[in-house]
Amino acid sequence: MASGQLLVSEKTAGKSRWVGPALLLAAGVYVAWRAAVFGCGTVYVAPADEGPTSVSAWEAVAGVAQPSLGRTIGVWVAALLTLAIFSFLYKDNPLYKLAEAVFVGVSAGYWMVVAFWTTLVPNLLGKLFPAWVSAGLMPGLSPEREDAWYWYFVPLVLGLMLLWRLAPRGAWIAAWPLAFIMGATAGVRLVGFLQADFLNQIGATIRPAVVLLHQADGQGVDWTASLGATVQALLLLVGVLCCLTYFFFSVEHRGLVGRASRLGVWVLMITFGAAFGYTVMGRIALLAGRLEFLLNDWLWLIDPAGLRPPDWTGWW
Amino acid sequence: MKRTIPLVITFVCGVVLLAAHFSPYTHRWGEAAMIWFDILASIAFLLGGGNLLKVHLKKVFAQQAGWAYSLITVVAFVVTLWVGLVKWGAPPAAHLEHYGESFAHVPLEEFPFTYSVPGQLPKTAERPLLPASVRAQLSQADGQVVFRGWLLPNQKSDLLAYHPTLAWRCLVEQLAKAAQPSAGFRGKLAYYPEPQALAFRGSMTPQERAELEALSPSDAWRSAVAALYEAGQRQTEVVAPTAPERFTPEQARKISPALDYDPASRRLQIRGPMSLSERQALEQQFPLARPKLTADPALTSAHQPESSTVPLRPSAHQPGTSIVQGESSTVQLGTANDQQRGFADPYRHHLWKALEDQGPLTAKQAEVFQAHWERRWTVEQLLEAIRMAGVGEPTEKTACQMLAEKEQGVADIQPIGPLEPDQTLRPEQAAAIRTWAAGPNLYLEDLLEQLAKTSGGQSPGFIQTALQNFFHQVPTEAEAKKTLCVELLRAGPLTEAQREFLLADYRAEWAWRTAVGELFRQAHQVKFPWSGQYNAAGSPFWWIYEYMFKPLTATMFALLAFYVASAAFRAFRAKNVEAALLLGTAFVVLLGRTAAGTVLTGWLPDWLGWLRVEELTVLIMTIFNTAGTRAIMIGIALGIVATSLKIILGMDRSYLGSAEK
Amino acid sequence: MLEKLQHLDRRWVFLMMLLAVAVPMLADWQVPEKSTLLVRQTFEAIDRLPEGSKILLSWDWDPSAEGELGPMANAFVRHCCQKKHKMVFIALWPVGQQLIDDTIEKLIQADYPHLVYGRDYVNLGFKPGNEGVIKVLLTDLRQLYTTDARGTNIEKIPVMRGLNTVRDFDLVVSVSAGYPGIKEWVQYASAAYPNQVRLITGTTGVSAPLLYPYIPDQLQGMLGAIKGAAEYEQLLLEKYPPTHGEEVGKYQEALRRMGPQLAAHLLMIGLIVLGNILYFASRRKQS
Repeated sequence: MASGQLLVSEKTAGKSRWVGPALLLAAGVYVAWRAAVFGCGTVYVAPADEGPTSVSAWEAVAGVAQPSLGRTIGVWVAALLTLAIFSFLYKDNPLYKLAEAVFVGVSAGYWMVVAFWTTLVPNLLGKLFPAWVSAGLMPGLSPEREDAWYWYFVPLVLGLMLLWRLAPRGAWIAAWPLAFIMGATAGVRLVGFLQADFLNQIGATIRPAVVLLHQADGQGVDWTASLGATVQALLLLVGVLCCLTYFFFSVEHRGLVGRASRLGVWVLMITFGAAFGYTVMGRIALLAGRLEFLLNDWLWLIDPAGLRPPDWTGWW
Repeated sequence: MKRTIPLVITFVCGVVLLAAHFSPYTHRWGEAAMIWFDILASIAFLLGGGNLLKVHLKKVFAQQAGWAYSLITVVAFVVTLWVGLVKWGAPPAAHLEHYGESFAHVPLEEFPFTYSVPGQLPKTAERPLLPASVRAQLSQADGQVVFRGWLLPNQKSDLLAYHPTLAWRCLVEQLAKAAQPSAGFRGKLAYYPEPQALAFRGSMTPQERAELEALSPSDAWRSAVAALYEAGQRQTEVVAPTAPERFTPEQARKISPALDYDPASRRLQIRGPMSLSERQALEQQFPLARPKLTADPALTSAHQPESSTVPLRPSAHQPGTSIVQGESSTVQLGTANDQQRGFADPYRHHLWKALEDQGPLTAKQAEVFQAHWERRWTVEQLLEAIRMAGVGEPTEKTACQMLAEKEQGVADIQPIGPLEPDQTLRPEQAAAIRTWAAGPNLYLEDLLEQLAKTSGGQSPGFIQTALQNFFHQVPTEAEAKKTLCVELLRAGPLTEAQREFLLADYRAEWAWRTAVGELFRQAHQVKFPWSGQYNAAGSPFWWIYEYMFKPLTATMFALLAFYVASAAFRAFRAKNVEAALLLGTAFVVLLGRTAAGTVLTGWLPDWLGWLRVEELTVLIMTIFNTAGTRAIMIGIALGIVATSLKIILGMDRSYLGSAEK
Repeated sequence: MLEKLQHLDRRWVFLMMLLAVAVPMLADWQVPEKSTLLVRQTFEAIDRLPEGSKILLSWDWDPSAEGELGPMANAFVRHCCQKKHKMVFIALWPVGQQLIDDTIEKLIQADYPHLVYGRDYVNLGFKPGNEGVIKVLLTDLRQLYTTDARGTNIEKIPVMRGLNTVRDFDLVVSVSAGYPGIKEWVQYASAAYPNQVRLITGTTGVSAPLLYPYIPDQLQGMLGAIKGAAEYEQLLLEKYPPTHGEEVGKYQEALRRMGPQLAAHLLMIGLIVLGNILYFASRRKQS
């Protein structure tokens, strides 16, 4: 199957070359017109103690909010970056690569800043040098040292060793903190998985296969509901056992074992089908979220939360 | 050696964490290991950033293919890092700034006042150290517990929680009573041990300065007092574009002697810093939103039930609901009775009339107006709030009282004393409230004055508290009119005159509050410029997050919706029974998780209800999906256990491989 | 025709998906939702707690999952505000802290201004370490959280009085997009202290099927994907109708997204069916 082939006849191939650019131009003109006439994408701010704060357009109608150039430019930058990423669906292009490059740089910088201010300062420097940290950076921290505060030199030293990985020589020293991380992770996960994913799951499977449910008024057994619950319990038990049989590869899958493992495969196919259905659901919701941003916050074509006067929203 | 030590570390670490799970004696080692792990995880973020810089800079300098994009990555990284690390544009943390107070540095060892109370510092095995908030100030000497400084409320709470015995708690209470500034300076003067700062609230007078300087000959003390005096003399002023109708220079001085106001130029001035309560008082100079009146205010209290739990009974005076729908745009509100009595709720009628006079209103807008008015507060709600505030609360005994009881041999010592007596609103007070609520402009001070008159001087404390709490949640009339304007605009158009009528007061109030806020900020002495949040809204770091990081992250994942559609069309083939089962299940789930399922199979009778698509989906998830996932989970758990053991025992050394470079 | 459809450029499929989501959104096509048992159980987990209960809310997500988890997070917080529960927010993902700040600003401060930061709710912020953070929370959270996200000493925050471990909370709510998330909460919190830690979650469509084995012993409730969020919003709107017009729109985000969801699902089914028809037709032609 050839990819990248347009669904057009050869006769119109020449004309079709202009369709794309023409559509793009028309869209651009429409967006520019909405921006010029309606001011779509404008963000309004009102003064507050800690600097201007974003407010709804109703405050602008009330006359107490002003358009914010910085934040309005931000909405347009966000919209253009969104479209740049979506342009990859048409084909790989420099705009997409630019957006991707910005994404990588900004993400790495963001995570470094977060790690520094949320953990390194309060939990490492704040334990070793609390007086200095609380004097300037985090006045809320106590300047008193804790008992056995000197143990915090250990993660400091290990951390410096980890950073030494970037050095041109002696990067082998980074193996020590890495070993610590691996050992800690292995020790923690061994117990966590064993307890929650192994023992508790077995415990949840070994339940009564015959279930008796009583009627709501407490008078006697509800046989219909009990039958349903019993069938469900049996199906669950049989399903788990058959799937486990399928995963048991050291015995040949023949005869009873073969039939059980085939049933297990079917149960697994149902599982994967359900997972596929949910995955599709998840992905589509993410797209809906982005489209809502473009149509609501940027172009002002819709206003589901009523954040703007009705006459500011619409097609024209 | 290079390989052995890491293997030993892995082994020790793994074993410690395993042991910590099973043995209570090794719990603390496990806790410490986890905390170090979390710190190393944060350093790993630094490593990630550093590695990114290294890789991309290499590409840029070597001018390899795509180096321009690498340069963009590096620039984006450095800019984000810089604005985040220096907290560029982040204002100082409001809750740490001690608004209304000036600070002057006095080292703890030079603080001249110590207070002693006979007693012993308790020794406890669980908490060998005193609470951090008092550790530097509290000591033991000659059978006395000595405290250097003035005990703050949070320090008192920490000390009370430190040891549970009555003797210790009584000692803390005695210390808290003793370790305070002299009576004239209580509430004004404080010492904060963490920044080691002497603080003074508001503007210091020359007499106060002289008194304070006389308290100690120490140089550090005197220079701190002088600095506080100077800080309190700094004049700040703003010119407000508008001012509240009733605001006068006397009103300003009543709020604070350091405040000055010139009505002619609308110049508001303050000496020294402004406190939050002063700011609030300045901002609350506007009339409150009018209530929904449900009874004729001319009725005297003799005709009202004694109990303040007046039910919201429908009265003949309630405005009728004779809304004319359809063609006519004018709407009649109110009954003939109302017109005879001059309206039970005249302000409501006046407001509606005024709007009608300035332009047409639709039937939908009339409904909106009615709904808006129904949400207004009522006098009955206010009376109920006052009644609740008057209900007697149990008194709490102090630790010293309980200790005295213990020494007297009382067997069953209760921490709660007898209930305070209930306080109720007198009929004349209730009548005063009703009359005030029906008045033209609702200022809380006017009500407090009226109540003081009926109480012979000062309105009872519980009423004042109840009123403050109740009206804290009630908007001003201008705010209520602005809310009404927005609701009316949602329901239909308004003329310019109507908008102006509804919004003019709100704009004026806003301008005043903004001016007061400006004065508040300018008069403030910034104590900790770097204490703000790195991601403060409005800062460049926040801008990068909100308008670059967030949309890029979200859009990257949104792309997957398209690929899942393309894959569905090109790759999902029901080639065999298993594939057909998978796709069939997918269809059921896709339909069952939307409204389509309900429409398609909603016609099935109840006894076949389990075949309805949405029920089938639930059965698929709770039975088959659970079974399959459980089996996979068990398999993965065994795999993880095996891998973890291999890593801990050193049988799997793959993670060391790249570290040898 | 069949030949052409078989070689259809995937970009036409992309366009169909775009239109399937955009057109219902532009037409404001909403469909009613009927709640399922699991969502009702999740709702009851918060609703039946007495007023003032202590809830730990863990924002284990970032903007990449906002489409599904944003509405869930808002719904959980609104529910807690209506019930006047005390809320303690933490984040296991780095961007989670910013998302908590957004929730506080746009929801709690905007619609519940009578709730006071520090007294009724607090943001303890993000700490790296994934499951390591949960392990520390099991024993003494003050070892890791010495201040809140705004830098206030944790000892001075009234809502944190008496809260030292995860067991001191009445409920733990994890809005989870992946790793670390609700699976780690189950493995390290719920498994370590069965019957002492009550957990509910709002999670993505990708993760939801993998969590069913934990229900109901280790995980007491779950909102799966946008459908779960829409059902929860419906229950919340029915029990606690908003008092002002603007609130309704804000709290119907998931319900709004179900219209495009339905159209896209129908498209997916149509594409799979069409793909299979083309496949079997070409196989018959070849044979």
